[in-house]
Amino acid sequence: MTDSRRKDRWATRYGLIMAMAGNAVGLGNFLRFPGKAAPYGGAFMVPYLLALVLLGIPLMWMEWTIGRHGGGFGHGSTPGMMHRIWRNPISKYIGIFGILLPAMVGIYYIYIESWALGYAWETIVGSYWGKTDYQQMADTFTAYLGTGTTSTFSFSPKAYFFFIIAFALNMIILSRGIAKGIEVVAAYAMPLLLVLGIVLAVRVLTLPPVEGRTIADGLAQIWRIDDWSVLKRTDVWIAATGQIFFSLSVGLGMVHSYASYLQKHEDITLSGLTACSTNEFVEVILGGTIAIPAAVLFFGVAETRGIVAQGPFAIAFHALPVIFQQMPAGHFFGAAWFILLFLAGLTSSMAMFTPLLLFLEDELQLTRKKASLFITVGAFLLMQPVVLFLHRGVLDEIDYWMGDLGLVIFAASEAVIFAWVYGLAKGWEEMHHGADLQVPRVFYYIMKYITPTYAVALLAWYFYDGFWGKLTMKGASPEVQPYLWLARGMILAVTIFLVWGVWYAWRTHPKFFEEEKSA
Amino acid sequence: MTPGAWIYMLVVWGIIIAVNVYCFYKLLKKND
Repeated sequence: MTDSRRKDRWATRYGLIMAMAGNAVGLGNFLRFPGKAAPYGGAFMVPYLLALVLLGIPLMWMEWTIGRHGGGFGHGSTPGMMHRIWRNPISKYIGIFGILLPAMVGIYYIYIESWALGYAWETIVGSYWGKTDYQQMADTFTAYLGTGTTSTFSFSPKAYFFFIIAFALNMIILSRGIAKGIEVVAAYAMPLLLVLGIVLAVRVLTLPPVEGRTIADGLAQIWRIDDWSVLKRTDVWIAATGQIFFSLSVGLGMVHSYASYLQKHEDITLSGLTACSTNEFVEVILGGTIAIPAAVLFFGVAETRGIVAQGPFAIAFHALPVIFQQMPAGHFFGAAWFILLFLAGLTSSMAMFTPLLLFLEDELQLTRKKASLFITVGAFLLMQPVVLFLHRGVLDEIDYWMGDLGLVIFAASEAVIFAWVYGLAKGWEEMHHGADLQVPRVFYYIMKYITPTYAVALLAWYFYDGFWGKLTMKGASPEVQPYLWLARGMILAVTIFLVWGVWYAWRTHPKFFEEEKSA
Repeated sequence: MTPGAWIYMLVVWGIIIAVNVYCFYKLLKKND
């Protein structure tokens, strides 16, 4: 094993854990999780917790291990890492997923994150104050995004302004590297996020009854099990398992890149579990306590279910602003909610272009400056269709292929390769180099048999359910279809670039690929 | 919320908080 030629390192273990936890803690913890859990009640938490133990935590350890192992050879992205654990010509191309997926998710994630930033500002200045009806707030959000018109473009100067700020912030952090950029931001943003989350959760839990409803009625939507037969439904298991993937950010390639900065003697088992458990604290305890219970208290169970059915943004950007206006110190709590969302988004999005940056630096040997500039220009151009054709479904199309199906494909692939090709005996030993926590032996068998099987079964279900309809654009109106093709074209263009990049790097790199060239 | 739902919620919260405390305690002890 050679030493990494990268000089950038995590300055502190606290910084590493905050960055890893920040990578996992995202918008999904506060928006997606309560929206998925509420329709099923407490029964949802059964498959959720099982998937966490059987799939989420094992995959997290696998990704830390693959990342640190690859980083020892100077690889900061998954093509090189997969090559190091499976000497097959195809492995490096499978690794492309670990660059493609986070970058394409980042293309739209930063835009969503900017909505939270924009709404934090709107709340502080009170621009929507006085609109105390749900529909009025829904119309306000539509106007903010500029999606209400029948014009070709969905554009509003205000939304675009905050998008530029969020994008610039992400690119500045990225260009400053691990220790001076990502670690510094995570070290301050994560504690602030936790404080804001706890303050909001305590505020919600201490709200007085409204029209005879108490906060306990809201918590019941997440925790009370009315119908055990829900557990017989496949969609509950898929929703719960999918949530674990998104929540922990596994199957995306970002964990690998962060872990590649670790030395072989540095612990990954305890650090990985700490990042996981921090994420679960934020998701289950804070995420499950804020949005749904507050909405049930003010709107009632039936109306809250209707709001949840409209998607994750309805509760965050329509319902909660109505509630904040009825609370004492509403400006403060409203701003705290949107700043919390923005920080959750930022600590995830700043990791999303890291695999691509490291691929350009490590394998294509670009300087940090050139690689950052390339990503800034490329990402900005690719983001324009997402922003301007938001109302035509470009964002949703990229989200399905990259942020939904794509990460299950990659997670299933890496679980099979790690457990069955590289071999779990070797993987287990590698994972425990420098470990501060001896993982219980039962996880050896879980990681060897259950995790890969579970991931492959989930993938099979994805192909069985919904894939063909999505591929053939079933239900999409003819006027929307060109925009969906545009989204697919964007994905294809980035994929072709990465395939070329891997092909080129494996033939030209002077240091890392000598054995392949000689073969 | 039924008593069972309260217990269910508090048990899950308790486990998550306990794992967090354990992890951060081990990390702090290691850094001493």
